[in-house]
Amino acid sequence: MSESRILVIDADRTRGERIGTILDFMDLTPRVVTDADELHLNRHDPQDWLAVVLGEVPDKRTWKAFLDWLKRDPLHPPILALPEHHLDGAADFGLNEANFWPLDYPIKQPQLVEFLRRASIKKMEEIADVGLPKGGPTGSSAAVQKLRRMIDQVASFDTTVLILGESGTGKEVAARAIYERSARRSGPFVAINCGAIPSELLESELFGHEKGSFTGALTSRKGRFELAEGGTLFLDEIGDMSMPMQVKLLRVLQERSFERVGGSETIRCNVRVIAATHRNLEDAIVKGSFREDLFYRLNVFPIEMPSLRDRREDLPELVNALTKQLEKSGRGSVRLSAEALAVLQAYQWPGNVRELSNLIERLAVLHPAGLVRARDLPARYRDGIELPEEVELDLVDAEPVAVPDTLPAEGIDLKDHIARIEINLIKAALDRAEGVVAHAAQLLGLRRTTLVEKLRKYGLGRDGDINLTSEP
Amino acid sequence: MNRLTVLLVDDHDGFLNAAMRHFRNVGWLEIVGRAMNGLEAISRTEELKPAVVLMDLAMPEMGGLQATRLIKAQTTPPYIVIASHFDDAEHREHAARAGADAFISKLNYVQEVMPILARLAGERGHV
Repeated sequence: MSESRILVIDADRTRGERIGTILDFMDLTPRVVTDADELHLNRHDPQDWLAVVLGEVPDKRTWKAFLDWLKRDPLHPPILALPEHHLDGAADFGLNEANFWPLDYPIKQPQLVEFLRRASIKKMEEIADVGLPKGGPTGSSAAVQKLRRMIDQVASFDTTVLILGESGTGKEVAARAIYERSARRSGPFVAINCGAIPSELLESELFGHEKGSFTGALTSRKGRFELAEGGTLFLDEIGDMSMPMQVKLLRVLQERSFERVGGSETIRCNVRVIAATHRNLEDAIVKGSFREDLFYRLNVFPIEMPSLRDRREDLPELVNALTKQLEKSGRGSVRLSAEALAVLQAYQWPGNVRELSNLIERLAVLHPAGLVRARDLPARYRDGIELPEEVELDLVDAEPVAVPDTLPAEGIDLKDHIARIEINLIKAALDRAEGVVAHAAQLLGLRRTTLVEKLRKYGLGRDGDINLTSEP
Repeated sequence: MNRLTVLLVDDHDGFLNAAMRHFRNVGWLEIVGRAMNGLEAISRTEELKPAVVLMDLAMPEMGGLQATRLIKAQTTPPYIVIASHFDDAEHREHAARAGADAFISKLNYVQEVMPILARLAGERGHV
């Protein structure tokens, strides 16, 4: 994606050039063509452009080829259509209305700026959305099972929910899971991170503003409460909200109504609020930085998110889910060796699932489609780990054969010992690869034929305890 | 003297050159490298270990938000400033969620980035 690159297609060369000049003047980077065939589509990605300004189409055939190419990418930029297409362009081109924005001509700069700003936000939201796991928290540990039960329990009631827990534990995932299971699922889900927005902008973000209410308020705008009407509003990092904003929020929760900044009309709202914070709000109340009355208003149904170190047994399942999600969204692929996985299971995870997710994505970028071994992990994950092999045997295989890591007093049968290590690792790899020998071989850094030989040697896969598939 | 090391990331050569011309005159600052997309930014950060990354929000191949998240996943990550053409609550929110330490408008680049760099240089004893 490029925020500043705009494509202008217009057979009316004079008009196209004029729009290009306006975009240039706005410090943006236009590419003006009179026909789509001037572009070498094989050298481009639809997301190379922030938006496509569409004027007169000279050749329906080349335009259709461009349109087909564009639509193959579900995250393609919006079409800003000039007046000749306003009436039936979206239907003619088979475009979703959400990606077809009628642009006035002569160009009105505020409208163009607003469209491009929205196109940039749309892009960021779509990319963020691709990265979010669907369907709720992943894992089968007791902690996650309890979390799922609480989500199911509260979803159908319209109560306010307060989600607590360390940063990165997936509070937004839990909030979305509540929304998806609620009667409001056909309404919008709107999220806002109160800690990430400068306090002077937060009020207008939440409640909207009227035209001219402050410098820069060129048009009136809906806030997130209005955007969430009939649905759910997720207020993340509520503990970072300033005291004056807390008063305003409390009023909305009590009275279900508010006014836009600079507005006098009282707006009624029907919004379910799910709030979240990594802070200890009771401590904040004692320190005087959080209102007690707001806390009790929010704390109707508290949900505590478990930290990742309290549910390490979920790590293989999480890695698997995160890897699949990366592959599905076209962000690459990565496989972790059993020893790397064991090293990660021993780590403290101060950044929780978000840290794990970012690590997996980083590994996918640095080792595209490759096997990541323990030594490929960033140093902080390996600190204090000396014998990954033994750790791995204890943690990865469901029922590992006990393999001592020191020389027992009575001595050892080294050949047998090594064979046990080998069998445990092969079983773990086959489990991870769901029985696909070729994938398991990749996990072990072996050729497929070598692994088949070893399976034969140890009699694995014949006694029914492991189901093998010869082809991926 | 030990200077504040900076990696410049932007997909526009012209922009990079203009920024370089300005930074060249700042004694306590050293531009240790340039990258033209997020992927390059990740590998150059790993290799050059700059104290600060000045990251364009939007670039082809991989944008600045994704690159910021992934750079922040490295051990002792640098301070990251996101530079965006659009400056509003939504853009700032996305930058902060990606883990950026600061946000500046590209339309006012030098004026907004210099106080941030000066503060960091002061804190780290480069000035």
